[in-house]
Amino acid sequence: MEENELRARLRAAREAFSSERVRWLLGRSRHVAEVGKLTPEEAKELITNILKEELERGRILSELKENGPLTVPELSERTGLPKQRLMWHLICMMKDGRVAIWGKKGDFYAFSAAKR
Amino acid sequence: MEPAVLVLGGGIAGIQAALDVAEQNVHVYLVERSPSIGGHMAMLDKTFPTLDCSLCILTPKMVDVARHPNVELLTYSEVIDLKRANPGFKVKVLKRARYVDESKCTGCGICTKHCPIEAPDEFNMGLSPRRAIYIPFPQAVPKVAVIDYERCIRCGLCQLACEAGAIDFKQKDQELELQVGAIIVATGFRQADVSALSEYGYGRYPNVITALELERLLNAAGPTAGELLRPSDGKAPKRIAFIQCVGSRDVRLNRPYCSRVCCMYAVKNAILIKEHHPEADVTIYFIDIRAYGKGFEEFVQRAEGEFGIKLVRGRVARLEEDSSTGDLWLAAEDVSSGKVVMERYDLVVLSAGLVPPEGSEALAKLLGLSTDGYGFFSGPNLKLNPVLAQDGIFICGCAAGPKDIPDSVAEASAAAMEAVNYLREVGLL
Repeated sequence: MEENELRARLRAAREAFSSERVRWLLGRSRHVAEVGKLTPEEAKELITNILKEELERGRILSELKENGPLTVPELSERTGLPKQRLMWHLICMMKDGRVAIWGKKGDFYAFSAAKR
Repeated sequence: MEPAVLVLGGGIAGIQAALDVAEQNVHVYLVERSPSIGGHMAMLDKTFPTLDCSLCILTPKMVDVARHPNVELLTYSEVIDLKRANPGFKVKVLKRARYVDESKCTGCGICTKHCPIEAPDEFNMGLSPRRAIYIPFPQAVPKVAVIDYERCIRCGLCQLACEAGAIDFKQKDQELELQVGAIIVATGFRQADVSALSEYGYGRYPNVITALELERLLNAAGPTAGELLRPSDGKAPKRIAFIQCVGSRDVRLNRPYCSRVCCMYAVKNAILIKEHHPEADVTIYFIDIRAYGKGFEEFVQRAEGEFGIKLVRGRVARLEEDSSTGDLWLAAEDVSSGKVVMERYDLVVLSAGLVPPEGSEALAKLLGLSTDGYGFFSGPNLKLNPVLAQDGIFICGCAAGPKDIPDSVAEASAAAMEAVNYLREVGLL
């Protein structure tokens, strides 16, 4: 793997593991498996899926922090994620207060990491 | 038998009817199927033709009705059985479990932050996420969280986060027996499912959206904080088309009726877009513009004259997506010139018609109501008593057929008056 890509992935992981959703879920993963309606396999699958989702969001956030503001096509080029999936992630992260619309860049809206 | 009135539906019509009955010192049960009252009006960005903020004028009424000493609010509830008691009715209401104790929940929303499960947010037409435990929208009444039991995985993270100790997975659905003297049906409408019209590609082409989706995108509290981004790639649309009469005035769907609000909401949304983006090229394709209400015609003229919105008389035949850009090619006949036009747009908005909500048929059966052939409730004397459905049951708002907010409110007040009169007639007051 190229060094830059590896660094980008590590930054994504750092962002993902500092997200509230992941910290709560992992911190209580045993609780989830014990009290929930899910079997241990289902709980594992759920946690894996959420982690995958949050890693993608972490990647977006780290790109925005390093290189932002960025448009959806620019983010798609940098992360390899489909544009519509990026739109969904960005809207979810706007709701969490992690991302904000920065303004327009040419014909497209650009996003930036929200100031905490 | 108590001299009480049952109001079905907590949209603007139901809220107004409940308030008017309650103000006459009669007890009201206001039953709403979803977790909050407010209905469609709560989802609208602005109202036509005055451009009032919809929620700003609705919220005080939502709060008033919930706090009125004569109103008992039953949200997340449905009527499941009804018997005539002469006079009046015996009604069974199913109050679905929220799995959140209404008396303990403070509406702080901390639980929603800790829930790991994301689901499409109905209030934002699925354009943004909510969690499996959620508060429907910030101004919800009651402002109490609710658990989407289907999606919830019972992990209990919300329980650990809730400082009020309000989460209760042991809560059960409740059946309530009510005795009422009269019933007002204000069950409203739903937006027509436009994915059935394959020529417009809704559901296949991400940049073809419905009017309610546009309302949410234009709303400052909506998924994009009021910025109009097209769904496929976040482009700021420069060329936008509105297609009128989608899903109504269409004999193929057995909906030849006019939905009465689409011309005006399309013109209103076109104006809102032009106000924010004067450089945008906005065209409305229509069969005919029905601007029948007070100030409506002037509003349409302003749209054309002041804002430069193009109005093209012509039925749109089809939309086709340019898959490389997500743009849409629109084919229509411009009736005034007799020419076929082929235009490219960044975003296309379908002015979807109004149809009866889910469960209308079952409710008609339960209450013994007649319908108008399209599923809207009807009565024996539509000309001189349009709110009468049958003995002791009254209809108002979109439950009786598509109409705008002022007409719904006027009918609601009429139905409230008729219901209270009825209580007197049968000796309950």
